[in-house]
Order: sequence, then structure tokens, then C-alpha cells
Amino acid sequence: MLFTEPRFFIFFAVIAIIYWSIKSNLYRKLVLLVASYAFYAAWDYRFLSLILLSTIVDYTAAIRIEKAASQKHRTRWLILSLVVNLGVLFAFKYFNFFSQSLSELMNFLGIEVSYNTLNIILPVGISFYTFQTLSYTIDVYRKHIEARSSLLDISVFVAFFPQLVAGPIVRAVEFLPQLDTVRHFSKVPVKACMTLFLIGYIKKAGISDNIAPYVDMVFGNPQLYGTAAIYSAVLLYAAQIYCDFSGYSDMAIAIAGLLGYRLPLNFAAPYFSRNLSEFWRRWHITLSSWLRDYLYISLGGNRLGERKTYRNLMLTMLLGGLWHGASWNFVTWGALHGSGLSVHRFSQRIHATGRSLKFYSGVISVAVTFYFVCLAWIFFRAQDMKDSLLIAKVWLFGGATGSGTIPYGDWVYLAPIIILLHWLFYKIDILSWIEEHVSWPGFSIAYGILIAISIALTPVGYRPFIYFQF
Amino acid sequence: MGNIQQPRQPLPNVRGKNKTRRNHLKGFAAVLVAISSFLLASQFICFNLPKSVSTLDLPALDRKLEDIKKQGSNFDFVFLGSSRVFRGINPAEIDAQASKQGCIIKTYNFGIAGLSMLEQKYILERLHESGIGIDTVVFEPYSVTLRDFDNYISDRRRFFYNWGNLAGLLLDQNTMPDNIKRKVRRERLSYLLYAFMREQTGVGRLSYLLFPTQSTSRGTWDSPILRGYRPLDEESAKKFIMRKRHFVRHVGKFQEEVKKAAINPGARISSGNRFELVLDVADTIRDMKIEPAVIFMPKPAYIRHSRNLEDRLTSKTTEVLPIINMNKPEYYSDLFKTDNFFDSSHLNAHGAMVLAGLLAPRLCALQARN
Repeated sequence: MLFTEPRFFIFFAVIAIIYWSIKSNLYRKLVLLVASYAFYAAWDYRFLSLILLSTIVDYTAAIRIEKAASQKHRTRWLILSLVVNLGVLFAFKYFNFFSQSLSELMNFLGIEVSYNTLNIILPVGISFYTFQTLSYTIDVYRKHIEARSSLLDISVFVAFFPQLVAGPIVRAVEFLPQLDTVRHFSKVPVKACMTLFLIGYIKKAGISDNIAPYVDMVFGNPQLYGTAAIYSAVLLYAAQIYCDFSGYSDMAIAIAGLLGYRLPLNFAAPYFSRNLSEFWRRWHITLSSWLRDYLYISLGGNRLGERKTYRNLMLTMLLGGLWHGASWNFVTWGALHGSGLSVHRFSQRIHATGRSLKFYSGVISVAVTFYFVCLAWIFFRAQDMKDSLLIAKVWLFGGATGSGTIPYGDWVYLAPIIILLHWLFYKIDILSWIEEHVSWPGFSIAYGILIAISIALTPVGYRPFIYFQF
Repeated sequence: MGNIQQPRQPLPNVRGKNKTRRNHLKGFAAVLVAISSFLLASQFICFNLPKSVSTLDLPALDRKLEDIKKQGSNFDFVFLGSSRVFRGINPAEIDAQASKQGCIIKTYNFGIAGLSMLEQKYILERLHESGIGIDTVVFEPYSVTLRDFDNYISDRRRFFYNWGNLAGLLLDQNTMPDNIKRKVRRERLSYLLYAFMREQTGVGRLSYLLFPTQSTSRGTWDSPILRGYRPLDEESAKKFIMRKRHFVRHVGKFQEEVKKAAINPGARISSGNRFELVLDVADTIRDMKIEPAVIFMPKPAYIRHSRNLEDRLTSKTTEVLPIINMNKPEYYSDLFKTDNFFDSSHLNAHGAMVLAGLLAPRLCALQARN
């Protein structure tokens, strides 16, 4: 069930009505839990068992960690949680990849090895909820939060449907306290939430889904297309993946908001970043902060000297790449970002830090960063390494061998307007302004018009969100 | 990575207010205003989204060409036409019926949904190039030169094309043949509700998004009776102009685009114009050393847009161009039974069997004549 599907609107309307008509916080949480499981079961009910397993393991492990008499016992329970969660993730997501890669390596070394693969599908959202549950046990282990005695609370935290399948990755420390208090509808910023949902919908259905056919066309057979077409496809893909994923995040935040819960921001106009470090503070913020807090810092962060800092950066980004999918393309994407971050850190050491950039040098920095990010997207999107290298070569040096073109349509003219609007939305807190200054009649009229426009922009057929596959 | 800052909260804080009955009413009113605004905006978009000339369903054409080659190299009759031909002509049954009557013929159904006469000419060229031996091409003079609602832009427009279907349903009940009229009356309320829900509330578009299929056999998206109506020529346009003022604009725009799409941009799209087009297609067929014939497939009386053409062709060209006019309820009352129709203008499987029985002797006679 996608947020852009009509059945979701019906589902959510029913859930919201039931939820807000109940006074008791306990029953409300029960409603949320049932709704979340139903939401997930709409995709495949069999994989609910994995969510239940993860929930029970982390619930138990957290309590045991807290009650453990010694540090050794605490660590044991944490390891159990890590092994179970990462083991499930490995089995479903990475087993085939590593099995195949190992076999290919052995064959390359002259040792004949056949490999086995598991004939299983990837449970949607597994990477997201695994990281989410892990953050809970790790935070309890680090004594940042207390273990919860309520299994219901942990279950809702793990399965909360607005962010279950594609984030934002919510930390227990952010979410669990919200479950303690009764939500009041009067405190819900309804206009802001509805606007945010519509913005997300337009990003996903209006922009991303309309761009997708052109991107698919070129990335499907890059050898057939000319330089201009390949350049366009790479730029369009950058727009597609941003609109797709940030659109989903916007909708998730809005849906949670309409139920009275706050989810963290996941994107902050990342393509306006002046360097890669800033890019990662603005792109998929909940993942990058997760990787920072639970991986980069656990590896030692920047406390163990300069060399180990570079190593930690590379390792974090490589694993970050691998988190997105079991493929060498994602690993390469992570490696590119790791290298870029290392180069940026190194250049910061050489040059004086802290001085502000002038406007023109800021614009150049944004352009260079964006150019590099697009280069990395090529490896993220292309079907295989061969296609990636072909497209990357054209992106860096031009000279495509094909002559195919893609129809640009109205997008060429619309693109500057969309970028300008995007920049304005980032600079101005439009949601607060709408919530505080726009009257209900005015909002209703504008909303009705915008729904009509957004439906007019929606192409037929669904494209699942790109990040569902991760 | 090292100095990632905590992001700002995406949603603003709001001060609490006491929930009151007044607030509930306000909320209800806000929803109503939003719905009204949505409907008005939909109307506006309906009249302003551009339509464009659609292209032939080339994959379907290629599949057909492949298929006809597999079926054999010589055919006595190849039927060319729109979905009415595609759904209504059962070649195996026609051949079997003809065989019972002592004449051996081999037929092929080359119907493609919405196939216009201009496109028929293109197909004829492709058929000729492929070297398939054909004695007679029986073509349906489907006069639509512009097909809306089947391309990228018009797909969006489909959602907003609303009152036309609803009003059309109401108006057409008075001009439908009795059997279909009864069917419509019987189901009127459900159709009205369906039309309203589908078109005015957006549910139709949403359900179309949910079940993205073009298959009319599902009957979920395009209600057959609602779908059958389109103002395609001046005659039906006049009817609309008289009934609903805002249709003037719609029909006007439509006519303009039909003119642009016609062979001669300056030509008026009229029965006379189409008459010339039929003769043109017939000449193209003759140039290929194939005999032409015209078939009018059965359709309800209320679909008026081809009647002038039928009358004119029948009266003026029967001697030089054989006309098989099956669109005569007065002669073929058995064929025009409601049970033989899938919808208001397409025969179902049973209807195709009945038609085959009626067509077989006509084709045998045509074969003997040729």
C-alpha cells in the first residue's frame, strides 16, 4: 500500500477517525499497532513475523540490558540483539550477494566453487526497521534511555506505519516519549500537515513519476544515447530520486503529524549543499545521523587520529552504500562518497576553516558538489557496473557513442520554476506561515484547487517508491 | 559527518484550543469548501487541458501483422475496422457458417480499437508490403480522425471529462433503441451514482489509478453506456449546443482539432467529407488489386454520427462499392437484442456468433460476385 494510492487514503481516513474518536491513550496505541500491522500485511503478511521477531528480541534485550548485573551481561544481550537483527537482515538482503561474490572471487583465483542462493524476496522496509530497533537497544546499552516495560509501546515504535517501510528512521529517544502522553487533536497543525502531504504527493506523483520514463529509457540502454541525453538523464535521475524519497518522507511526516506524532526531518534541500559533508547533513538525515552515532562514532570517529578518521569515514560510507542494497554498484556509490568526504576533510585541514564563502564561490561550490553527487548517482542507478562506467565516462568527459535523444517536453521550462519554488520553500518556513496566517476557508479553497492540479499531474499507474527496495 | 547538527522540526507548533462543537462544524464546512473548490478546479482543467492527435496502437498492429502471417498467406476476406469489428467479427465462426452453406472462405479480423480510416490506409500499405494474398478487404468507415483520451495529456483529461458523460447519459436515454433504453432505465440510478462518484468526486480517476487497465471487459473504469457517447460531428454537436451552453465551447474546441487532424486542414468534418474519405480508402484498396467492401457494424440508434454517411453510401455507391450494412435494427431484430451486446456499441461473444450467421451468406454472395 503506497501513500499515493486511493486505498491508502481510505485506510488512513478510517484509522484517523477511529483514532481521534478514542480518548484512552492505551486504546489509541492499540489502534495504531493494528493499523500498522494491517498496513504492512497489505504488502505481504508473512513478513510480519520478522517485525514481531525484531520487536520481541529488542524488547527483551533492552530490559535484560538494563537489569543486567554486570557489564559483561549487558554486552551479551546487546550482541544477541545485534546478531538477531543483523542476521535477519543479512539472510534476506545480503546472503545471495556475498555468496555470489565469494564464489566469483574463488573462481577468479582458480578455485572452482559453486554457490547457493536463497530463493527469497526482500521484505519491504527491513533495512529501516532493523536500524530503528537497533538504535533502541544500543541507546539502552549506552544508558541514553531507559528500557520500556510496555511491549505495546515498543511494538508501536517498531511498526508505526507512516515510517515503517521507508523511514524516516526514528530513534526511540525521539518517539517513545510521545507515546506516554495523550495526543490532542487541537494541537495538531492540520493545515501544515495537509500542505506537507500535498507537497510530498506532488514531489512523488507529479515530478518523480513523470521524470521516471525518461530516466528508465536512457539508463536501460545508455549505449544508444547521445551526450545531451545522458547528461539530461543523470540530472533527471538526481531530481527523481530526491523527489521520490523526500516526497515519501514529507508524506510520512505529515501522516504522523495528523495522528499527533512528530517525526524528524529527513531532507533539507540537499542539492544546495556547498560540500559533501554538508550534503550528508541534508540528505537522508536520519540515516546519516544513525550511521554517525552508531557506526562512525563506535569505530572511533575522529578521536583516534587523522588516518583512522579517514578509515572510519570510508568504512561508514561503504557500509552506508551497502545498506542501500546488495550490489557492487551501491558499494561503489558509498566508496565515492567516502572518498569525497575524506577529500573534503583533507582540504579543510589545508585551507583556513571557518571563513564564509563569497556568493559566487558559494555558487561554484554548490555546482561542484552537485556535479559530484550526480556522478555518484550514476553508480546508484545504472543496471550494472558496465553501464555505470559508460555513463560516468560520458558525464566526466562527454563523447557518447550513441545518437539517441529524449523528448524534453515542458520540463525544460518548468525546471527553473520548480527549483526556485524548492529554494523558497527551504528558505521560508511556509508550513508555519500557512498554519498561523491562512484562514480555514482560504486554505480549503486553495487545497481543493491544488488537489485537482496534482491529480492532473499524476501519470497513470503506480511506481513504487525507490527507497522501498532498500 | 563529524558535526551533523540536529535538524529543525519539520512541523510547526500549535497552541492548544478547546475542542468545541463549533470547531467540528467549522471542520465540516472546511471539507465541503475544499470539495467544492476541487470540483470547480476540475471543471476549469477539463476545459483547458489540451487534446492532441493520438497515434495508432503500433504494437497492436505489429502483433496483428505477425498473427496474420502465421494464419496463412491467402485470405478471401480481411476485415479492417475499429473495436466494433475487433469484437464483433468471429472469423472462425464466419468460415464455419459459410462452409455449412457450401462456400469455402477464409476470413481474418484485422480490427484494432479506434482504428480510423486514415490509419486503415496505413495498414493496407503494410499488408500489401507483407505480400499476403487478399481477395477482398471489408472495411468499416470509422470516421473518427481524432481519438482523444488515449495519450499522455488526454489521459489526465479523462479524469476531468465529467459532466459530458453524465449529461450525455441523461439526454441519450430519449434516443436509444427501446431494448437498450430499458437496460439503461433499469440501471439508471446506479449509472448516475456511478457517473457522479466516478467523475465528480475523483473516485473514478482514483480507481483507474488503482486498477490501471484499459480492458473494457472489467467494466470498472469506463462504464459502457457512458463511454459510448461522444459528440463527433455537427449533428450531435448541435444537439449538445442546444442543451448545454458550456458544451458549445467544448464541441467548438473539439471540432477545431478534428479539422487540424483531417487530411485537408481546411476541410470541414462532415458526412460529405467522410464520404470522400471512404471512396479514397476504397481506391487505395483497388490500387492494390484487391476488391473493397464496406461494412457497417451494428450499433444503437442513438449513436447518430455515422447515419448520414451510411445513408449516403448506401444510396450512391452500392453498385460500385459493396455495402454490408448490419446497422439496421429494423432488419436484424435478433441481432439487436440487448443480450448480444457487451455494451451499447460492441457485440459480445454471442452477438458475434449471431452476426457470423448473418454475414456468412452475404460474404458468400460477394465471393461469387467477385
